[in-house]
Amino acid sequence: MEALTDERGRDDDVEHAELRLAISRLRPEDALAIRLTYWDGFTAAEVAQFLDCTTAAVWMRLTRARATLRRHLDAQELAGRAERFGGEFHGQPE
Amino acid sequence: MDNLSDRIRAANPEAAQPLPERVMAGLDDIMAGRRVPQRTTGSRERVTHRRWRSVALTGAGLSVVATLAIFAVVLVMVTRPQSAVAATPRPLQLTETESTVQTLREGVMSVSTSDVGVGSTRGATWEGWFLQLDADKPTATYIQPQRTQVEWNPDLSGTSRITAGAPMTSEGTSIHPIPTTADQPGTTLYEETWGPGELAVPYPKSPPEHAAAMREYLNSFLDEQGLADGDAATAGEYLFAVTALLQVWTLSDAAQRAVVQVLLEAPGVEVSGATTDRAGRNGIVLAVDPTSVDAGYRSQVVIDIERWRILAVERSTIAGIPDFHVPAGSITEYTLWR
Repeated sequence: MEALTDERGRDDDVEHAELRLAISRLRPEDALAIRLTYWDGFTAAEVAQFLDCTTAAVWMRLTRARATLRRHLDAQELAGRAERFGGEFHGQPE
Repeated sequence: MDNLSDRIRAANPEAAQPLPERVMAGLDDIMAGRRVPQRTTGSRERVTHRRWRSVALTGAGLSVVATLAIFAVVLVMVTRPQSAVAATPRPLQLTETESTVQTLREGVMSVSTSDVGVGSTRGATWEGWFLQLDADKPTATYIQPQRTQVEWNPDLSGTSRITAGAPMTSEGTSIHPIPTTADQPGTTLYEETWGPGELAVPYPKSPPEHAAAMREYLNSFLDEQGLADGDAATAGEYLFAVTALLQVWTLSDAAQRAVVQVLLEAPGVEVSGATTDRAGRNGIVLAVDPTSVDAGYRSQVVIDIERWRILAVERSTIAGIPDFHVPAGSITEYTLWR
């Protein structure tokens, strides 16, 4: 049981590290919007003021960044399954 | 269930190394007013010291790469610009009107409500322009508006597309031939398709069609944005909320009237005059007092008092932007809905 928990913790750590890396590869303004919104807890209005743009532009950046991160996570999950199934997995990401 | 937001939050590197010393020093300078963060896209007032401090303190959790990315942004923000003057659209020309806020309130409330229940539709199209100040690029000598189209579905999937409009002079006259630095009109500048749950729509629920319900609807948005401090919202705050609403919903006539009524009944609004907007439509101009978010900027709303709908929203800088030689009173942003 303890081993299972440790393994899950390691999986989380790996995902977090991969996600942080993916965020760092976003356009700088998109990464900043993600960081201010999800990590620092600012509202869209505050982020807009900080980034000197309209709130609509903040949403645009967030949606653009989220789509990129979503694709990244899907690709990671697909690769992980392929690895577990000996490279013979050809399913679609959930 | 979409848990992308939770996964992003969980990836917050709480215990990573602090910001580099030179970044902290730069942020301290900004907080102390020794440096002025430069506008990178135009229209917002300087960030507050509180906000910078918060960012600096919580910045301890950044990964090195992300830190460098942010530092790069800060550096761009404090770079001083070139000496060219940025072109801005001519302010709307006002003529006298007999309308007052009171007569407008009475007017919008007197309209028959037989059309209530038609319902608004998801998605919106608007045209607009905002002042882009970028120290790394030559300042444009023409105005090139953009047309934005957003379509979305109840599952928060959708598409958004921005296309270039026709370049024009500050006076609104078409420019021929197209400047070599301008985008060809109709060129797609940005296009994206969003999967289920990916579009961050600020108003997922259908807009109400009565003023009282609309006020609550907008108040909820302001609450979520941290802009409602328990006091009654001002017209400027409602205008902020309404502008966001009109970017994702095409309002029914009844919902438009409800929005106009909410604005007219809020504190901080007065009639400036009558005008013909940038799309050639006649309307009444409402001047809206600046809000805490928009300190330093004046907002105007053009409303059609025959159909009681919002035609356009414009913002101008009160004191100007000296770094970019933008004079006081210059238009920094406008949006119009056809």
